[in-house]
Amino acid sequence: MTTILASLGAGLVFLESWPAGQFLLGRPALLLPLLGWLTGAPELGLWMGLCLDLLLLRQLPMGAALPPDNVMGGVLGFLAVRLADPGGGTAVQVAAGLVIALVLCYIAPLLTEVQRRINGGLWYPRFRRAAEAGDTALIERLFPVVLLQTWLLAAAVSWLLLMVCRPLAPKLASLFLRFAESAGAWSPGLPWLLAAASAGTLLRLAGGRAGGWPALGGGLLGALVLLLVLP
Amino acid sequence: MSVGIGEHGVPRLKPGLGASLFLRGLFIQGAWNYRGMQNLGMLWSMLPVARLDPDRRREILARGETFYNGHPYLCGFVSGAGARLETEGRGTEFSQLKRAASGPLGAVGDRLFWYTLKPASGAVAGLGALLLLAGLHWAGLLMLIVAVLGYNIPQLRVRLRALYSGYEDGLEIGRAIADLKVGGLQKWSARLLPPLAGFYVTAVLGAGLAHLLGWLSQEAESALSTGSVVSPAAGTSVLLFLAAFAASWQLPRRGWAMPVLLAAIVLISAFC
Repeated sequence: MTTILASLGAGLVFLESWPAGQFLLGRPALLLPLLGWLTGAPELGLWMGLCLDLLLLRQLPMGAALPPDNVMGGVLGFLAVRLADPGGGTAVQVAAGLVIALVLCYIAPLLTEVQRRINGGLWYPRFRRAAEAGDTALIERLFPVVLLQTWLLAAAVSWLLLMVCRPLAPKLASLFLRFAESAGAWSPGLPWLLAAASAGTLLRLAGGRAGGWPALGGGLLGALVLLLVLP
Repeated sequence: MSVGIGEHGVPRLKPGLGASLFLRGLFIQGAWNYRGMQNLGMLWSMLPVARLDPDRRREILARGETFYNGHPYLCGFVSGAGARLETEGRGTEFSQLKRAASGPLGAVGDRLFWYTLKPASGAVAGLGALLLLAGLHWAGLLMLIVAVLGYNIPQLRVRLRALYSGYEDGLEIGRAIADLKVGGLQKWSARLLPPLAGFYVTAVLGAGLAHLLGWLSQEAESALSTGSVVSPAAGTSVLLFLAAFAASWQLPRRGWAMPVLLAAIVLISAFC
């Protein structure tokens, strides 16, 4: 039941991310901390959200392009780890969740592709016939049906992916746990590794903009804040 | 017809029709397809206009259904201009406008939102997450709220202005885009991004290195007390940390898929 509810929620996130609204409320840096807080794993949500949002910041949905979907990848990766609850500490869960999420980021655009083809093959002829007949009432009814169908398809695909990924989460976690045992206490550094990579992405994105001095100023401010925050 | 005439002879969009066009514009991508792209969303948006003129309803719907694909936040230009042109009986010009406006509106919207405002608000949200992780809950929460509002207030404002500019300027799409006055928004977002990136990079690298160095000193202490050597994983961890940063910064220039590279780093580190 929890998986079904989670899938329906993921379907709504998909709906908001592309066909309806596009307020970017589902972006990982916002949604995953919230989900983490709601499900009692705030650090997992924060780390995953932070890394996934910034890692894929350069992937843009321009025109008909289908970039990696960090919204669906993020939410499904997070839910897979939370539903499996593999234990092993936050760092191990973050690492397992991010590996699952990154793979899903590349699988999830297929859902968009399938929905676009359904829209073209199934719905487009109906809209066209209604338009030719001047039937505004039918068009008015059809459009919410398309949105409902999109939501249900996204929920069904989410359920399928969660059923596949849920058993993977403990296996990945035990893999990282084994690494942590062999490498001493280093494993809590894993999230920092991912954060460092996302920092590089952000710097790359800002590199072609207004030049180095503003970035340097921000960097100095960051260093100052660090000196104040770090013990 | 649901239009009035303004002081300078420019027709005004009635609030009811304006609200309907605006709300329907939020779902412009609701039935995106490869045949006509955003055409079905545009068709659905134009229903309130088609209902105003029962005699020409079929023509209006047929024109609404033709190919269209612009930036989703700027579709108001076209639906607004469409509402005016259709009510003035200039529907053929609306079809031409739809085709002609797709490219420019896509280019302007992509540059303003996807290239500038989205990364800037992502950087702010990232900082919020970092502050939450550092235990500064109120500051972190505030940053997340700023990220949501900082993105959505401008985009909703642009959507609304696009609708009214499209309606008032009709076919003059260049003037309508100029009327949006988005230059300032784009300039400030672009100015905001480098300092945010600098701040974020320093904070992450500094805090990450502090974390690793703290662990290294613990390792060294225990090695000294037991008389053993420091684990080789210590050096590997610092190197991996710096390599991940450098790779994500530089490799995308050479067309590398960053997340694939990152997954490889994590997996290799798990097996080493």
